[in-house]
Amino acid sequence: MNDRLKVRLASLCVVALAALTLLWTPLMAGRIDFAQTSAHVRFEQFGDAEPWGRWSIGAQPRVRFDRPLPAHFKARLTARAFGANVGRPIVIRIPGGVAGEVSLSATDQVIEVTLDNPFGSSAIDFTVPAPQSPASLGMNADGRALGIGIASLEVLP
Amino acid sequence: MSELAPARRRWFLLGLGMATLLPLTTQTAARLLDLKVLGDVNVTLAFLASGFHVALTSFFYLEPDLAELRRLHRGRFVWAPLGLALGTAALTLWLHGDIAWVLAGYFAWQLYHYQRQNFGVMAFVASSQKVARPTTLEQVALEVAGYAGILGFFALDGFATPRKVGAFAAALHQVGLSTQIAAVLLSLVAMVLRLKREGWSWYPLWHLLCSGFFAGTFILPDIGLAFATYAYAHGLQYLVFMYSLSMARGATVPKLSPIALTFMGLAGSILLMVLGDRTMFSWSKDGLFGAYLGLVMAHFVVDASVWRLGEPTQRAYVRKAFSFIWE
Repeated sequence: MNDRLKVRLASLCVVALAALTLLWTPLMAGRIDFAQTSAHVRFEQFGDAEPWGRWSIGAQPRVRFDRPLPAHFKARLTARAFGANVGRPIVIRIPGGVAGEVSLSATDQVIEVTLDNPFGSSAIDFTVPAPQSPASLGMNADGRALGIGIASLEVLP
Repeated sequence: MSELAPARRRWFLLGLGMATLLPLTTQTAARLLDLKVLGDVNVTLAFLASGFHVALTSFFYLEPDLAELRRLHRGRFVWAPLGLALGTAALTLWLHGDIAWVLAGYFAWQLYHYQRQNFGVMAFVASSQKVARPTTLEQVALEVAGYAGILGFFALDGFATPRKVGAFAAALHQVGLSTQIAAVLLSLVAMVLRLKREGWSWYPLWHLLCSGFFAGTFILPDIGLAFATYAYAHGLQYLVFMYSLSMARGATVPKLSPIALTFMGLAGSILLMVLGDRTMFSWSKDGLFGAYLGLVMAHFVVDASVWRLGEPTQRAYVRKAFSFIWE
């Protein structure tokens, strides 16, 4: 056996051993606390963290993880809607997957939605029907177009 | 022995080191600082590291010292490139542009090609540092790192991976990450063994760098940034090799001079840019894009043939052109 073949075989053995980590490491599970910053999650079109969570800003907020989400999973959200979004359908979708719909009240509630991830995406997209600023409702001077407020998101395999 | 050789060795290694780390630095800086100049630098790096670097391979077709090698290995220098360009064009036409699996094969080969270059980098580093050539353990670490990069690549969000692969992206990422960690651990073990055996040299740090070549895939949350860090690094490393070669050979053969090499790069990159633009030639039903992929893969084949230092002809050629490394 020549040296190059030996190196290749030994390397493939290392990869096979590395694959064994799949047996005891869950692919992607855990709870994302929106009141915290995380090195593993990026909040796109979301406001700064507040003590309870954070608000989405604009119509197409996105949560992007640092690794692909499972092919099929349940997302458990603790969330609320703002202003005209209360009770209206909010679309949740993995890019390339089938969309799910939820409706939220003005106070935190726990909802679950099952999502498919056919292309191995690492993002969850939301479509907010009516982003609205507290300023436009005369509530305060906050001019951000708020939609949904998320306290936490759990990915359940 | 030339008195300039040690200085040239230092500059060569410095160039290779900068080529490897510059893209990570400029790409990260561009995301942290809103400076137009950084964007311009990254566009320039992207240009140099993509079609331009691929086109530099045409140098080997003009090199008189490789005429015999080209004649003996027509398969590698003529038939394989032709077959790859025409074959991939035919395949993409036959698939009516639904080429996710073709792209998967292409990218897997491309990343493997990147890591093979790192084997070459390590051979050059070992010789210029006057230390023993890469051990089996060190070679395994590099090879494992290459597999980690490929596994991680297919888990990168946003790339046109086939649907069936995409469904396993989470598992691929997990195995890729574990494999990458294994590569770094192997490199660290090899580092301890080498330092014990030979004392201090820059070699172990270089080895760690090459073993973590694809680590950005697993560390950086930004897909574009992760890919650019190693794809551009590979292209820039190649520029360092080719311009060093050109400076040595161009002194006696004008058509191989750095200026001539730059023209080869520019002409070839324009051709590749045009062929690779799927919108410009949409009438070709992706046939020309297939030819583009084939030509880039031809670069993998030709390159692997010329830099095969285990073969006496290629070893003699490289040692002569890079005499300052081996002096």
